[in-house]
Amino acid sequence: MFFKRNGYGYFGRLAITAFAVAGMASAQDFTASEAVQASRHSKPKLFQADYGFRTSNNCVRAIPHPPSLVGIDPDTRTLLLPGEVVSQGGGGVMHFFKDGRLTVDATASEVNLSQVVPGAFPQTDGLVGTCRGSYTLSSGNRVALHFNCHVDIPSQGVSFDLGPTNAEGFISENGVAVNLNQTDDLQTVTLKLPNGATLVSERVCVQSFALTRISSNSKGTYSKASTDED
Amino acid sequence: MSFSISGCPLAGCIIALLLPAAAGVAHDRDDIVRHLQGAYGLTNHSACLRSVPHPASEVGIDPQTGQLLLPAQTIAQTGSGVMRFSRDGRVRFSGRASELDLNGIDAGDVPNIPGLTLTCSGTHTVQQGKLVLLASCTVVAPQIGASFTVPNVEAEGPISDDGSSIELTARAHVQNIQLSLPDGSSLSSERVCTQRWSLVKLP
Repeated sequence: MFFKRNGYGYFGRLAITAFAVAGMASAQDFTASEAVQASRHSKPKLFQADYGFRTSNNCVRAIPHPPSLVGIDPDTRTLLLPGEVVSQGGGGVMHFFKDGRLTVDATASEVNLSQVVPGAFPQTDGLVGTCRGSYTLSSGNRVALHFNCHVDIPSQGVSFDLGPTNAEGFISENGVAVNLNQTDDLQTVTLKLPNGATLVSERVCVQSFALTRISSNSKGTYSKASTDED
Repeated sequence: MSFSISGCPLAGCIIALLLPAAAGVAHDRDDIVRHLQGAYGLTNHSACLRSVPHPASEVGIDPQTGQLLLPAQTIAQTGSGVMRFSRDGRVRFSGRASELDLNGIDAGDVPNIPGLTLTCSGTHTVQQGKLVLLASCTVVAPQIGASFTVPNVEAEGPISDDGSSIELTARAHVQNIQLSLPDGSSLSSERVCTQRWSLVKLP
């Protein structure tokens, strides 16, 4: 039953996290700190590095519904269907490439703060997300990320796509630390059920990311996928 | 004092002179109270429980016991901007923020309040590698024509060795909120929060 707030099946116990890509280019091989230095006075340069990260969020999301319905009005942000509150946390590695692309490997867990009655299952863990997207550097050590994610929940045999995630923040002078917050975007979660059915849920979140550089040479790979953006 | 100039051996003096002055605080591991200087990019994430707005004559959360005396709502906020520290101990912040009403989950609710502007001013000290911040912050919500001031924000946390990053968390206490409405009236509210600020050094 789609609109039952408690115990409505897969999606009520889903969590969400993730990240994805599209490219641009600057062929020079900059370190993060060199890129930051260069971004002050000229066209921003990009870099190649791996960052370990942690993230946490709070979201209000519409309960899962058929794609023909709208859960949150994209213009007014008014809930048009009942919603629920979730809090999620996770982490992983963000791979930054010198052509401006970005990939993310992440794991996450979720607590559904609306599931507070006996018999409920408020926690979902073991979410595995892969994301692709892009990043930019601009003056004032500002960083912007954009990505879309695919998330699997092996224990439940379900998966979902999430996007867009747009985040903005700062990179330290030495390139070691990056802090970001998600921007005010409406996100869409598209849930794929084991029986082939698709459900949709929209959400609004506040989310923060904290990154620490763990390698100056990205170990990640980027392969063209159907969810890539051009 | 790790890098005292006076009386240091030659190698130590050279190291001290080569250390980046911009860090400003990197070596404060003694009992001397110091101040930061420079700009830091800041992001923050908060989760709060706040009493519903009420006349100033009432109290929503007992400041001594933390007990709720009026109904409350749960909110989450994020913000980002630039915090500037001065050697005279002042600190200023300008940025923007978003708020999410975690109680607004019924059809017809608008749980997200984006586009808030946030300014803060206050003082700071650095002692034994830890930053202590006391500030008053004002949040303006242009779309509803209201603003609120939190006069007693208190946070503290460690500064990295090289001064490039700072992690702050709010001290646990009841924060007072003064709400200014479009019609000129004002209301009060109190809140208790878990708050985290992450700062990185800017040029």
